[in-house]
Amino acid sequence: MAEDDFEPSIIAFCCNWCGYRAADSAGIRNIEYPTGLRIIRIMCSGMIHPNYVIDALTKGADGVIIFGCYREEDLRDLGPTKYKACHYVDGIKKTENRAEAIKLMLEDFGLEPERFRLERIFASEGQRFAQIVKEMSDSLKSLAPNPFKNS
Amino acid sequence: MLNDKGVEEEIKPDVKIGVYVCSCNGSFEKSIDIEPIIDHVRNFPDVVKVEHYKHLCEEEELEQIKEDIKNEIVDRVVVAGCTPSTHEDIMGNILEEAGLNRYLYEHANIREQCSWVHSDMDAATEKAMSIIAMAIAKSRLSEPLIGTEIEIKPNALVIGGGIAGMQVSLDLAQNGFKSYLVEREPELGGRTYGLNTTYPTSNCGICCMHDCKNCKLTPKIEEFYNNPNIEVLTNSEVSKIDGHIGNYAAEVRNKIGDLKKLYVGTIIISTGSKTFDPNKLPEYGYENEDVVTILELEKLHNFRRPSDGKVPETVNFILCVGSRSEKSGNPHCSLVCCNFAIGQAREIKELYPNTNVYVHYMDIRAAYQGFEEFYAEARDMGINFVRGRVAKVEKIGDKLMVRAKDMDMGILLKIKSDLVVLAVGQEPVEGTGQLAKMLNQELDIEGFIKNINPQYRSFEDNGIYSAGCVLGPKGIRHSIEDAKNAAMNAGNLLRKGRIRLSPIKSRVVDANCDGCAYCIDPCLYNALTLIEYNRSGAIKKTVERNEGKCRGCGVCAATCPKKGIYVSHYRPEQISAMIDAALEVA
Repeated sequence: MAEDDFEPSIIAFCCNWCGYRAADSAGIRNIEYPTGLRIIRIMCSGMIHPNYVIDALTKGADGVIIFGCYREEDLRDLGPTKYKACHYVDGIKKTENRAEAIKLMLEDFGLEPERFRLERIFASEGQRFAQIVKEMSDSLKSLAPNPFKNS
Repeated sequence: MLNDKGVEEEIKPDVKIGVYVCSCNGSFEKSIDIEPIIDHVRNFPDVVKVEHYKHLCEEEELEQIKEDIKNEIVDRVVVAGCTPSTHEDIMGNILEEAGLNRYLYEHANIREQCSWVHSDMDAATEKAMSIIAMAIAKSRLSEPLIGTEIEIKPNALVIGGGIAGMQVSLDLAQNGFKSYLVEREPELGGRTYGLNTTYPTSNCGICCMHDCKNCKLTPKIEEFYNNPNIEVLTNSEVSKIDGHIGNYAAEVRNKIGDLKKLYVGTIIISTGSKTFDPNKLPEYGYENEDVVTILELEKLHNFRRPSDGKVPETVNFILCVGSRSEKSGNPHCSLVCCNFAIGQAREIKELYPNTNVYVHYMDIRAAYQGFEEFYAEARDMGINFVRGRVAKVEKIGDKLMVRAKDMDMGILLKIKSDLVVLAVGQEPVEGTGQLAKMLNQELDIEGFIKNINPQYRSFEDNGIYSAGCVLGPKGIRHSIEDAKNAAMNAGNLLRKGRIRLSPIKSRVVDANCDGCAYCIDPCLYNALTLIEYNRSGAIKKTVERNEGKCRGCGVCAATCPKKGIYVSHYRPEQISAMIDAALEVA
């Protein structure tokens, strides 16, 4: 496969309320993003056990991204968008704590930190969803291939 | 896999998956080639049927799925097409109509998340295959799920006896449901009770609670105490609430310390708001006796000055005190103060035509029916509306000097005044936060109860509703509307008598759980408890999950180091299988 043909595979865990609907928003507006993205819908981003992320990466995914909801604090900075935050009180905070653990696990597995991202998003942010996926895909292209691929 | 009791259970290998690919009336045949997808999917071992439909939303095509289920051709359904956000429930109903459990259904989103976002046909077709493969992988491991049926206690707890709470109780009573109305003050009626007049209809606040032909909609205080379906608990506060939809246990304590335990099926929060404290803005000189708030003005006899009882010759109203400015108070508009202050200004002008009345405003927000006309009339009556901000109110002799800027004229004004009235806004009342925490309700940025999009309500009901100013600043009319809405929702729940909980909940795998209790604290709904029991002579620790409280977020599942707890329909095997399918090169 030629170098520029390389399409990084990204597993996205999307929470049912914000992440998944943001992907739908991108669809409704026909905003293109790389085809390497595969979305797995879950109820809450807080449901994602660190093992799933490591599992996906060691099975050969080039990157894993978790899309969850915004936190109460983010809303303060973002302005009065008070109708849209985490569906489960503060499930996203649990995800954040877990993201820290995931970053440490990546080190143990000798994987680059760029291979994992946690993003907060609104259901309406289709444009941003596409932007994030594109950014991640580009950054994965610049990395060496996933050492676990085809092993 | 392991079931609840830790017994190894074989998932039947002979599943019969039917895959129905819908091309949404041809909307994505331009970016996805359907035929190769059909051929590809046909090769999957458990797939017994693959069919391409033009428009699955249509009755005849849906009938085909039902026929396949009824004829036992398929026992699991995967639909590839639009997003499950809109169509999953509809398809679930179709399965149930045909006699198949709705959780044996999977949705492959190849429209919003594939064909609509990719223009490269080959890549998009390949991705669509992969998305369908993921859905099949999950479907293969899905199991029929059925939620537990629980009883709904046929009564309600209404917290807060202002006009909203009263209306909720009355409406529930009319529908034959008993409610307990808890109010921390000695009187019912909240702020409305203290109003002389409501605008623009010019009724009186007290009338709102008596038999007044103009305000038929408002709760009548006489009916209240006589209504056998309403138990009023004044001077009381809710100190503790535990339980879940259909079965809440609340402790209510009154001022003399008596404790009452109530068991109710639903709870309505109507604790209201409070008005802004103008002491926080010293420039308005609230420490002077003749500077009053709009609510204090209601209590002045014939609008005479509090200091000496004289008829005021000049009155200045200042609007937006504590509203619409993050720096001085709250960022929100309090909605009712413009109209209310204009009403009061008109009353003064009518009573004392020679009195000069000024209203200092930023914008007049008279957006509701009849308000604009009411405001225009006030201008015609000779009330001076000054657009701009008041810089300072200070006492000079027995007068108040109001220094203000008139933005339209571009001049600074100094107005000698007898009375200054501050149109204070509304903000969250003390205790809203604690109550919200007790009931797992979310707050918005400003500390009001979060006004949840009613669309989400039916989806995942916890039997708690809110009404009135606890959701944000509101007038009487809108509080009443809110209350009627909340009473209707609560009444609908109570009328059911029994409901079936969603089966998407966490489940403890007894064999794997060793009682390490990592999952207990992170649970957002206090649904988990550590228990010990005797298993064949030995003490075994495990976690017990309260089905009513659990909302199925799965935060617990992610904390468990031993696969001891998972969320049904999102089992670890299912997620792993989806990851595998996603990474498989077609």
